[in-house]
Amino acid sequence: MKKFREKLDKNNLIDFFEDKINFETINLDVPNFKEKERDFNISIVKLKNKIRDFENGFNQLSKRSITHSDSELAPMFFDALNFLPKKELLDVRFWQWLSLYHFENYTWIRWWATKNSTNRSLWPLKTANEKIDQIKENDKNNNEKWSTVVSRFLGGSSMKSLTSRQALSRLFWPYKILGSKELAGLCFEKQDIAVAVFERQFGLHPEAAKAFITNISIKYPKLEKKNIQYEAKKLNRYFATLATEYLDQEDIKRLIFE
Amino acid sequence: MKQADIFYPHKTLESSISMNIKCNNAENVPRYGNTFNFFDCEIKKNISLSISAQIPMIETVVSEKNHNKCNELLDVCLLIKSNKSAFRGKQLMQKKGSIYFTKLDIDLKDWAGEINLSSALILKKNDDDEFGFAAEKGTLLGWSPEYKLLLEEPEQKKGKDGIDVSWISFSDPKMHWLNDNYPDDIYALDLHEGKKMPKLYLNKDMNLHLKNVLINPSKKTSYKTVSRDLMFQTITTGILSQLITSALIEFKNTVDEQNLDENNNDPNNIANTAWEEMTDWKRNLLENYAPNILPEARKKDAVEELKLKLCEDERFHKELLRKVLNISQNAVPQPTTEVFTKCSEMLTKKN
Repeated sequence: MKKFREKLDKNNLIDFFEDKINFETINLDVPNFKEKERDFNISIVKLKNKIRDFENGFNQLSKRSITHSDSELAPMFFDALNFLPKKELLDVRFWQWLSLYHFENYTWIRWWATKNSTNRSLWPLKTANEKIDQIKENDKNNNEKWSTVVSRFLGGSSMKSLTSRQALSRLFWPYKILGSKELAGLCFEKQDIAVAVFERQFGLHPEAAKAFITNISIKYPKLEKKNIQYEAKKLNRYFATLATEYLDQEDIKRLIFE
Repeated sequence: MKQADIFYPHKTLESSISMNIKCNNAENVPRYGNTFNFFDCEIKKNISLSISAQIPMIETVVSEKNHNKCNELLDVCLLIKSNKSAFRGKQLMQKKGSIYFTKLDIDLKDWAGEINLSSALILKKNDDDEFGFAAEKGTLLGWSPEYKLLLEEPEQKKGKDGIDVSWISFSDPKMHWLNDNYPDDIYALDLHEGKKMPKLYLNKDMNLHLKNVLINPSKKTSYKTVSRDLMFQTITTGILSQLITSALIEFKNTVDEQNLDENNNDPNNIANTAWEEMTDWKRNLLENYAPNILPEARKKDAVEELKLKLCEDERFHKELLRKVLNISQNAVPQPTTEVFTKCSEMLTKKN
């Protein structure tokens, strides 16, 4: 397992697709990897098979099924990678390397090809130019416009970008924080829930994240976007005068239903 | 913890909790104020800390009838936050005499970036029903200043540290971008690409008389010093305008990119995310100058208002860019009108 020596930026991504520069990588520091290698190989094969099925069948999938695939993949990413030291899992350079060297097609499909019927019909993007045309364009004033797929490959500089945006870490980290398939399922059932929790600071406190995700669908069974956002904002306001870290799920549930 | 600006509808401690941090497995960890530079010391695996806190007048945060129940109603906690380590947690502090105490062991392979520590006095249960006193479990009743443990060297200097100024010949090949058309200019600003701090260059080849005026350290009012101040004012206003413009443009571009993401259309989230993604010095610059950029806003709300307005109102951004030069004229330490007027008065004064 590796990571890039330097964090890649947007222009590096173009160079990467053009194969112009050989970006230096370094090995991850994984103590006792030999002992874990067998389990790792088994789970990575399972994951790659699942991803291949997704890539081959995405054209037949509805938008809902595509979103649903997140909740199936999240535990598989977790099982495959959780043996790595936390410090490496927090390093965006690792996720950049993983998505560009091992899950590039998945990232394109999940965050670009499935966006609309035009993109679906253009997939697969075969040449570097085809890819670059999709990630960067100039508007009428000649300003550069970058596609959102860029942040799915590269993440960003904040932790939120790992928990919420980078294509692969956004599956791994919410699962690690929530700790169960059931909660991950609820979280990814509607993207608005994942965004509402993991784009906010309180999402890093497992009790708050769990309480929000468990209770939001009880309070609002239809899961309307405006209600999800309203409740997330409401909790945020509470946490200006309450110590988030001190509260357990029951306390936070009470705040949600207050 | 930054809570001074929040209005608390209940009684809180009148003064801060005083917190003390001692590192048990390293001596002389470099420390600047409340920041410990652990990246700069010999510890490689584990940091072991002893943390103590003293709380002044603890009983004042509960109603009089509960003064003798402080132990039952209140907890003192060490709050541990590290965004880059995806961690928010707490540790209860134990009371030993009048001091609260805890130990914290940090296994470096589980942490990244920085760790923020503070002590907080917290209401243990929903209890007190007297008006003016906290009643909700988890309510913050007092806090210490925040301490930072830096585990990795920050990517760059913070904006508030100011930018570096160097004297160099503009004909020097290192200044290739100025060589052809601007070798005789007086000053230049290199905004760099990426995250490095900008740098201000002064031309070593400038006219000697001019140089003498510019480096004159005198504080007395004279023709020389008012002329020097006038020159400085012209330079600083121009530079500040360019820096603010660059920061506003970067923020707006990030907001626009976020807006393309159909999964995230909550303006608060977009504004906060774009803010966090900004180059550090640009974020610090806007933070420092937000009250000047939005003089009509309350000082403590200026940053939040600026973020949200830039995110929600397309015209506001254009309007701000139009006013940047004026913002700068007023934001520099001595307003431009004053400096220019002082110089003119001196020059037109009859002997």
